[in-house]
Amino acid sequence: MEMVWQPALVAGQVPQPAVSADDAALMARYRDGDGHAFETLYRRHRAPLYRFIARQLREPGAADEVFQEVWMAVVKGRERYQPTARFVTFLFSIAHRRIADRARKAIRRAEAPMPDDAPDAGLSPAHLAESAALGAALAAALNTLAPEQRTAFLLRAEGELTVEEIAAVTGVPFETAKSRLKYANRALREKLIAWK
Amino acid sequence: MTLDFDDWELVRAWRAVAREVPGVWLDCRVLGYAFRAARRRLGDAQ
Repeated sequence: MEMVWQPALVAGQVPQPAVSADDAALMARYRDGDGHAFETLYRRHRAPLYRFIARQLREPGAADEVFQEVWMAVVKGRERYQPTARFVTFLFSIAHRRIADRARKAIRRAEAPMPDDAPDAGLSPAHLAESAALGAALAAALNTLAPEQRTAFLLRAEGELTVEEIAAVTGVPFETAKSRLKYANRALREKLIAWK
Repeated sequence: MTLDFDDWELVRAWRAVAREVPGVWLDCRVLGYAFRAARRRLGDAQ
């Protein structure tokens, strides 16, 4: 009888033994055939990775496609994965390359509005309205940044990457990555001065 | 809501408002693909 696949994420359960394992150990377990180890990794990184991609690709459906491609690349590359860098650096590097490939191929990107943020049931209506307004302001400010600055900020904010890791992911010297992050933060501060 | 925008406060502000997540169907596609690959790996090992 074929085993029924029921990922814990979809079933609303949490595979407890894998929760505290580090990413490299989870990848090793997945390489050896443990699907739940992958699921733990996926659950840990799916949202930041998705936002990193979605905030840089404006074509409808593009974020979903690239997100899927990135994880499939992780699956296909599991045998070759070497934990010489943090898994998150490996993951965001793949995403960065896929986004860059797509940007190179795109003749012109439509200025489509970003999807609305999902409401958070735990916040009051007033807080939600304020939060939504700040979210819209931040998203708009982010869209005005040069692409390399936006990437640097998102790698920091979503991937929690260090400047060294941002440099490695984007293939630039440390000082360049540091400068991009600095200019991104300065530009965002200026755009958001009304919130100060 | 007022913010003092040092670098980390920008990051914290972003995390407080950025809530996009992949849809369930996308989760299912990725996890289904990954689990099938894992099953093939286990099948190969036996």
